[in-house]
Amino acid sequence: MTAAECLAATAETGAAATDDTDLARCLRAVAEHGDREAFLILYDHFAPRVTAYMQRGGASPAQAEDLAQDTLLAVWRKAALFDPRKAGAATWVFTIARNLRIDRLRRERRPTVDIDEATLVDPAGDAETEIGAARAAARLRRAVDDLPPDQAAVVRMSFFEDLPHPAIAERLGIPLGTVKSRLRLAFKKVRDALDDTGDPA
Amino acid sequence: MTIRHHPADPTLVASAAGTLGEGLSVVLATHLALCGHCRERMRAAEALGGALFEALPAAPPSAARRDAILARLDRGPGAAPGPVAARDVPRPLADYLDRDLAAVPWRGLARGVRHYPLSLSRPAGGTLRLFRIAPGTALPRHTHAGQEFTLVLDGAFHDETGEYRSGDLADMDATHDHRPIADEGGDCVCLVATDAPLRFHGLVPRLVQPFLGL
Ligand SMILES: [Zn+2]
Repeated sequence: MTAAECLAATAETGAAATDDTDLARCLRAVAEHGDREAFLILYDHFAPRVTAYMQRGGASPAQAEDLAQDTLLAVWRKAALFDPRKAGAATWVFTIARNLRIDRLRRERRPTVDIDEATLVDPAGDAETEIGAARAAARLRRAVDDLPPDQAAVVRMSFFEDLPHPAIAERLGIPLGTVKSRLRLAFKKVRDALDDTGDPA
Repeated sequence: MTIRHHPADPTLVASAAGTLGEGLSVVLATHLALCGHCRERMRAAEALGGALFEALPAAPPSAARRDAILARLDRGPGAAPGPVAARDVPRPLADYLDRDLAAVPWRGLARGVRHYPLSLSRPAGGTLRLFRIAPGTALPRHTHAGQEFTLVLDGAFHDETGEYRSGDLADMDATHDHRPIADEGGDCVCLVATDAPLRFHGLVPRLVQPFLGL
């Protein structure tokens, strides 16, 4: 993948590339060529989201902007580790931002996850992987948009407000078991969306 | 290795969200290193986070910030990390264990029970320790104020909820009240993490005392 290809996508639409597949191509261009133009597409797309994410997690506006810069710098440096068979571009950047939040806002450490062992034999070529990933991303977006409000609220509190499940139960005034059952239902919808091998309806 | 007991769905969501404590995270990551089924589930939980993250409101970054980061792209993207020294436990645990499992200097805790505590970056991360339990030994009945993960590394144990063998993870919380017993046939070696002290009840204090503060 080259910057030309992800930039071509930008030129065609006349807007910034926001499709997850385009962003994945930009990550590849950064990994393979240290491509700065591809990086700027990633930066424009993700830096504001990381800033919003850090602020919701308790960072001050200035701290959130600094953490966004550091997250995107990590994206530049770690781009070679991105594997589109395992995660979409947004998911991969999210995990980097999350780890930085744990490390810098909470000053805690977390174990290294053995991602290399997670490699599955995937006979599909790049194009097939991309199509499959794009469809899965679309199904997932719909599944998340369609979550019932009570499930969506619990999921958002968990991911954005840095609250463990007992704290969510306390905040909402509901039993811990109810928090867990809402998360279980939401997670099942996500898994169904990702597992579905058919075309989007 | 046939793994029968896996972390619960809400546990994977908590881990993807980054709200699972450090000790519990080490046990979960060690299980993931052994369990392809749960690596796939974990990817789904992180994809949920990615979809929520993507939907966050985003204002365009300032030109000054853009210029500032371009000035910091000082070197090319880093290469993938090199191979890690061979250890007798999966990487996530090896990072917290200062020696091989075979060389752990076990300390006696109670009759038939030895342990080896592992350090976390902060006390608030909960507790993390290895247990080595002689065949047939029963641990005191207890429940949990928070969560307790037990990952079997060698041997087996059973309790009211089932039979746990190598690679199995018991994901317990306050709704579980159990009395683990090591199976006959060999020592049971487990990695155990909690995020709050255990609760013992209805027992002779002398038997429970060694386990207080775990
Ligand atoms: Zn598993």
